[in-house]
Amino acid sequence: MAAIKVLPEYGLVYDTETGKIAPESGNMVKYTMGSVNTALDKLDKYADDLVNSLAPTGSFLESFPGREKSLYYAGIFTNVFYGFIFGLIAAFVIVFLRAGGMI
Amino acid sequence: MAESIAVAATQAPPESAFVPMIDEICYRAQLTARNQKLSSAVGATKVLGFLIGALFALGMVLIPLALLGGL
Repeated sequence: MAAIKVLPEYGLVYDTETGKIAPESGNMVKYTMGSVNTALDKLDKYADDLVNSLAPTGSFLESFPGREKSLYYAGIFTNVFYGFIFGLIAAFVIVFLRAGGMI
Repeated sequence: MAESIAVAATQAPPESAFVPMIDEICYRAQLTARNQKLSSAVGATKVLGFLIGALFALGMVLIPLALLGGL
């Protein structure tokens, strides 16, 4: 059962299950939600970090400064290898046809 | 019954249950964000990187051949 304090000086709470204002019973457990709110604010920042990962540039929340384009250059180098393989095959075809007198 | 539930609830206050879970979620979110950022970087630079690699390989093979008179 969850209850919200509406009038602490009269001991009245709002019962969220029945929707009624009722006197506060003695066996209630009170929580402070401050740490939970702080944790949720932290979670909000990390969710923004996750959304920002859809763009290749820009730094992460906990990365060192000056690394805004490091993954962009990593992507270029990844694709350079695929292009290198394609270029070697194309060069082989050109040399092969040239040696055969076809071009 | 109610007292035992209350005792069980006080042994698991929100900060002891939520905060380690939030840290774990942040860790997993960072891993996912790093992988997603690398994937989007590979996707964004495919034309540029492919051109650089292809021109480099073609030049590395054909320029020495042309200088030697093979082409």
